[in-house]
Amino acid sequence: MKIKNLSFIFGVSVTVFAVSCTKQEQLGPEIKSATKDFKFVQELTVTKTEFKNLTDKPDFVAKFNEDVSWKLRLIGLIPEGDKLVPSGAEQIFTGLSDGFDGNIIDWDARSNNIQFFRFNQKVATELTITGIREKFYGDTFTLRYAIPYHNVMYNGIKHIIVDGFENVLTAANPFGCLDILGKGKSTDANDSDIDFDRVNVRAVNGNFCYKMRGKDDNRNSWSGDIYSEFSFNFYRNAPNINALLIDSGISPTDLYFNLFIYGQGSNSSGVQIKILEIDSKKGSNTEDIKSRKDLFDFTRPDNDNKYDKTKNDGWIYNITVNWQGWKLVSIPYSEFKSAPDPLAGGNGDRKKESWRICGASLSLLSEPPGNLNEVYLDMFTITQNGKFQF
Amino acid sequence: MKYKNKFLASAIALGLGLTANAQNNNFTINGLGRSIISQNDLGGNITKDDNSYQQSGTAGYNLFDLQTNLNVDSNFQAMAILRAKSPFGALFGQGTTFDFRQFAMMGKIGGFKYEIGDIRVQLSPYTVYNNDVIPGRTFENALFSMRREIIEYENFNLGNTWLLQGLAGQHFFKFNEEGKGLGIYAFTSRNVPTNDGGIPDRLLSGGNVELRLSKGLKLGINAVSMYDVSPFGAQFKYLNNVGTGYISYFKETSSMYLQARFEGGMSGYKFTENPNTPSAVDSAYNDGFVDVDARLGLKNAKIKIDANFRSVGVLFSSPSAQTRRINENAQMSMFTFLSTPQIGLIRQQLLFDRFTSEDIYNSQITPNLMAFLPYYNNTNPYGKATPNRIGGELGVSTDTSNHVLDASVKGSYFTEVQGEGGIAKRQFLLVNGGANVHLGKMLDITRIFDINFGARYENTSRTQGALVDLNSTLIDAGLTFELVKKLDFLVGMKSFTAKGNEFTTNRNGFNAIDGFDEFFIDINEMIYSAGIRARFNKHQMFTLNYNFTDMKNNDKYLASSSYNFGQVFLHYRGIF
Amino acid sequence: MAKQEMKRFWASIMLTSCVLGVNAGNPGSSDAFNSTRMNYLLPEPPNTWIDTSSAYGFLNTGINKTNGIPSDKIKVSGVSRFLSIYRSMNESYSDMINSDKNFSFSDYPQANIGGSALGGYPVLELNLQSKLKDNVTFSVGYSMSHNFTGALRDGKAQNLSTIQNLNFRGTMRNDMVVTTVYAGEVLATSLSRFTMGQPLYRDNYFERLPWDWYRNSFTRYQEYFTLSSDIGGQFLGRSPLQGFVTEIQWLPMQINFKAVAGRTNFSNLQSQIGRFFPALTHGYRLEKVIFERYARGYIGANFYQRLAKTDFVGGVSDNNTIGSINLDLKIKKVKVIGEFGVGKVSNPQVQQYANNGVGTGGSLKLEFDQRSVENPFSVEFYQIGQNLASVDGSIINSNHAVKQGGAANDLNWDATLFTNVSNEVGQITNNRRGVNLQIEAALLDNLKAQFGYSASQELQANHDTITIQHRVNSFSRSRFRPWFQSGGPYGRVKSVWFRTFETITLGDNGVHSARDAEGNRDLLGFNAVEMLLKSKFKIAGKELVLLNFSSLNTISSSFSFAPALGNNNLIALWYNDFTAAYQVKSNINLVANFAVQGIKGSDKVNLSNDNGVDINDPSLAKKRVIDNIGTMTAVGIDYDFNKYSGIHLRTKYMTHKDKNFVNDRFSGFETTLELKIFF
Repeated sequence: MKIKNLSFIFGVSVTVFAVSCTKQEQLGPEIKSATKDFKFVQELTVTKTEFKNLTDKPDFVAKFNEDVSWKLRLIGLIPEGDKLVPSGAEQIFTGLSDGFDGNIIDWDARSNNIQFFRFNQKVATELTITGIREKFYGDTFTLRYAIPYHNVMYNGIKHIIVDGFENVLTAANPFGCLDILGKGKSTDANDSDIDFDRVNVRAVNGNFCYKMRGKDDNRNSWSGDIYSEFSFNFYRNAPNINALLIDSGISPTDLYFNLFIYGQGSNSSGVQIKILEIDSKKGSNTEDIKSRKDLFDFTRPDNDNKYDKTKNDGWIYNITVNWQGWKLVSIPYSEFKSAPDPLAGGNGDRKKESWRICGASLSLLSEPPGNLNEVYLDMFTITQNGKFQF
Repeated sequence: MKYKNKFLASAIALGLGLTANAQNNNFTINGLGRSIISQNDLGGNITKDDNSYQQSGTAGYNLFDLQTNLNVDSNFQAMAILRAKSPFGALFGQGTTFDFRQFAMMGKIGGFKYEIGDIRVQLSPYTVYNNDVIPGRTFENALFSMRREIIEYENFNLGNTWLLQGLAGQHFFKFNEEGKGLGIYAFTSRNVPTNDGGIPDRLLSGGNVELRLSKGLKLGINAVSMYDVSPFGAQFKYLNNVGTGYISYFKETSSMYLQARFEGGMSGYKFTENPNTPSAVDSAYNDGFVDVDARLGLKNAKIKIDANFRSVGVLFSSPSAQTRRINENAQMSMFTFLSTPQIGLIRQQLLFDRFTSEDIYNSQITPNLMAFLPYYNNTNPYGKATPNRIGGELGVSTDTSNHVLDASVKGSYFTEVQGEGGIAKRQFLLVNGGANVHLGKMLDITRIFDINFGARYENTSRTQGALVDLNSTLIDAGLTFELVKKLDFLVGMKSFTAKGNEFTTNRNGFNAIDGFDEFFIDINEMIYSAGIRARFNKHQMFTLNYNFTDMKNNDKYLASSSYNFGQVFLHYRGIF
Repeated sequence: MAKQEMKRFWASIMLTSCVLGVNAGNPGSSDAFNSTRMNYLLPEPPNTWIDTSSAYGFLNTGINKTNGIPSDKIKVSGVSRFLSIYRSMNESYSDMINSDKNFSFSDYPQANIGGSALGGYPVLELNLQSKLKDNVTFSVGYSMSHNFTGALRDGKAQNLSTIQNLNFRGTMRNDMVVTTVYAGEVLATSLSRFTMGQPLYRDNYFERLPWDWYRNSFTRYQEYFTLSSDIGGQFLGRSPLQGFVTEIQWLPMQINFKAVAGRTNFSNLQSQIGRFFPALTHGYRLEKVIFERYARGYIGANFYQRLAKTDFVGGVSDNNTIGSINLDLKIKKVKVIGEFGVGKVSNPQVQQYANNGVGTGGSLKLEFDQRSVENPFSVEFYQIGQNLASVDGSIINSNHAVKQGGAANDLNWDATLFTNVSNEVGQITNNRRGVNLQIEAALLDNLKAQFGYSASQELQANHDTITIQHRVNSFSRSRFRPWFQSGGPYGRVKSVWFRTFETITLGDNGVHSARDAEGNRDLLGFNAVEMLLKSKFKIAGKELVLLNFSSLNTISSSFSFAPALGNNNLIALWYNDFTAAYQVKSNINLVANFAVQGIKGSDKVNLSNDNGVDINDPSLAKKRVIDNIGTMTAVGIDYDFNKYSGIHLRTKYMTHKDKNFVNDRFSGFETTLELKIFF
């Protein structure tokens, strides 16, 4: 999390704290251990078996015979074989009181780490009482709600999902995200062990993520990519000009491309993000797109305009995926370099203009060449004025 | 990086061309070569019928650090260290990496000395000081210290200095021959480069002015400041100043010597959000400390007695003295997970990892207090400059003039200045001591025959509010015996026990405590190590040793998480 | 289980070393150094207490400007080898990784030298060695290369690495025991023929080899005539190792002990490097030197093991263990060379073979030299089981469960597997029993002949493929699609480092099937005869060396003593290679070469489906067999412009054409320019 946001939350409080704490007699929030006659008046209970939406949520309730510091932990579970195991998603609430209920704990299905709570996920509840080694467990309930991330603002940052790698058509994808990149796929015919597909294991959000696997036999460092020159998917969903997703005039330093990548700790895997801008219309017509209006008209479903990458800008950024497990990578547009090949996006006006962004592709790289690589991708998003917000 | 490599390539090529012919010694070379192979196996309860994660692995590397020294004359000297490193299993240049590891230029112009590049800086324990926060160094077996040295070398640690990137200069104005004079020293370095956008340059500057009134009496000032040089539109601006003054006294007679030192000072912290905008938010606090240190040396008894009293304020902030060289949150590269990465059950750092895992060390000064594991060191996790402590230390130790025995014992008692999470304050009791007995010299045999043992006991307690009772004990024992000339047999043992409960503190971006996590612990970690060491000469050695670490979790809720790991370690180290 | 083994085994090793030490011990003097703290690059830390006696000073802590090794104590040596290969093909294989016209500046095209395995040799190998002390040395080689990509800014054109040397040596002597430790890479090391070492192949007398050490180019040809020695493969039959080699010599007892631990070039995959992949290769050799009146030589006991898992996780063993005893004794006038060993392969893939992964084998060779007979000759018998296999040994491997890089590798990328190979005379392979006979005769003063004969037979009918070696254009062919094991238009070509092989499938071609109804077949027979005629005489006062090598290799459906071309024959490969080297001046010589090779398959192996012959008519099967001719016509010139440097030009015209497998054809020129400077 950027210090910016930290301070956004803590700034004011700290000023007060910093000044005051030199006077007051303690540091940090009050905490209190349970005495030896600590008892539950009401054990931890969850009032509903399902979390359907924000207006009709389960309440978490527990009552004690004394004031004590407590910590309630919500743990997302996924089936592994025949048993349920933690998915990694969790949220924590703490307090010092003789209990809590729906008025004290208000959970919006957000996780406190990189793993999102998933749609249709079982969630376990765990209560710890300061001073007591034992943990107390409440009912498990099912989550049937997911936080929307497409075309919404959080902390003043606009989120646009380019691809959640979910299937838009099923109810299992409540994100309303565009499912774009999976549509276009090209892999290296001279490489072996190629496997590019949506898989329903180890997704970080939703039920699916995208698997990229391939052995770079011909040692060209490239095993394939998924792409969309997506005037078609991205802009066609816009009913009118104002509904075009990316605003114009966003500074390249404030426009972020966020991608969750699952690495295997390999020393040769890489992922390339390529962002396509549209500067001119299709090859036959060299007339430039000068305004959002041109762009809007150009991308209407009724015309069969195609994107010509030999006439436009492509901006690339290479990520070395040397970690193990999931990681969120957020790269500002300003970090992207121009694609070297004029036939593959090196031939536009060489200006980074946010509103012209109309396509992207994600490639699996092998550096050094010749290796077998496997990565998983999830939640490819664009954010304005900041990085992706959990 | 690539570009750098090419530059280096040509550099050495030329350099060597030079050496090939040049017969003068203006240009000299040093080298450090190292080869390591470690074969690791994870075992114990936790691995029982679960093969879903890695449980054995072989790793290592070869490296050669080429240090070229250029001595043009006293006005200008330069040294550069070029590293060639190839990971284990990589032949014919696959994955070989080259780094420009270190580079410095230095010289003397008149009385003025200067140094530019990678410079080492150390002032006082409250200003610029790189604390060794991993317990059990003094009285451990050479098998263990060998591993520490690898890490310290890789992490650029040398004593208590920080390796910074910048420049420094000093001048001593001599008043007379008895050492009267005035010394001035200043340095400045860059910690974080700007991205020419929201992130400003972060610099660390400081210095020392010392007035020497006589050979034994010195007055001085240390100052250090860590600050941002904001480009236009920076998102934040950080400033931290520390200023201290000290008096140091030294007196020596034929039978004893006395050293006394007082240091006291203030720190000021300021963090500005969105500077040069109306919406700017300031967070600021100041605090101070006092420290009195005394040492009495009894020459006949060959012992010295040390006493220290100090009080460090709750909000005393001195990044360059409080930054820890070990990062508790970093993952070890070996057996990181005790589950599939998906489930993400991450292995806790063991004592063994803390002196063998290169990946968990930190070499950069951080503005915020880093997290620490209380059961390894709770009394002074940030060295002498640990905020919110008041108390003292008393110690007795043998003098360096004693060649047969090298022993010491030290007791510390501290409390908090203010309670955390309540008015009640923690109390800290720390006792440690041990000895290295050079039996070889005692029995007057020419072979090395050393026995070492050490112990460290620490107790933390808080008797009201949120109760705390944490005990940890570390015991060291070992033996080094020279079987035949230059071939040593070594055995070492470490036993670490921690039991009780404590709270780890969560701090926000401004070092302010915003929460606590209680943890209960009841572990017993045993480390056994045995090996042979061949010493080809003072700086070349080969060691073959086997380490077995048994991590026993006695907590009834975590009993199944006991495990052990065995490691074969082959190590060649040569310095040329 | 493996873990326990590991622990026990290391324990025992440490014990042995101690014992050895104790035996060797004496209460001599020793320096009382008891610290491992390093002093040069990392000096003693400064006193943290402000030292009152010291002068005012905060500067230069930790920088050691003294005690440097003076420049005259550093030895700088190296090799510069600028190579450019231009290939222009008229016809070529469809799967060739480069276009028909291709420039390359490394031995193998597209390979980023230094950046990747076996790319070739660097343009500049710069070696740094200390001459400071005798008992410790370091050697670090900086390898610089240029790929001449023309892209100045992508940072890919030039690169720096350490391809050959990053190693250290320490020696110490206690009385009669000398201990030497080598650490780092590349340590070329060997234990014994069965355990660690590499198979020897006959040189191609025309091609230049990157590791060619001759300062004077013509010497090479003179030695081909005088000594019957080859330059041989890289590292001369030793295994390139990264890790540690320890040698302990116990002088009075004339006993030598050698311990090896690390990884070899074949023991892991690139994607496993530096990632804690569980794989360690270790080996030991205890050798007793015998120097008596009746016998001179040595007897050795060897142990080799690749201790590994099949993958990072899962804990499935992928071990390969070999124990052997070998001897090399001259008894009276007869030299007796032999080795006997037992091997065990334990991984899931070995289940395809009998006797659950255990294999035994032995070889015995008798050499009679000039002093005992007029024409020196040697005869060797061997029998080696399928599971006595190693990617590091000199036994050519035919075991599919023992792979380069371990079980995780797939056969398409395993350059160490040669199933049922038609071996050269003198080579041995597993799952085989056979005999090698070599005899040398001086027919005239300046005409010598070497004759070789080999006959062998499978032990078990395990695999229905056979492997033959392409002798003509073998290096050039291996550059078409480097490192790939099923290349070429019909997916049969195996390209390995500097050589090319071809995998042929038995039966299952619609006419014959490899096995009978019960799934049995006869044990295959392998034959080879080789004849090298060498002549040297002067023309116009200048030396001319003529070398003519002829060979015939056959594989037949059952054993036969002589090369069988009759009914049983499965495939036959004949080869003739004529080389003439003429020394125009002491530093200039010309080389000419003509080589031709023919391969004729039977209707019991792969049959062509695309030469228009009706594939449903068995009677026409003979019109669809493998039937190709390959030639190389080449000339070259070597000019050594001084003692250390030479320029070498080679140009050749290659053809290859199969009558029936119509796509199996290529032809074209290849020109190689090599500038080599030793310094």
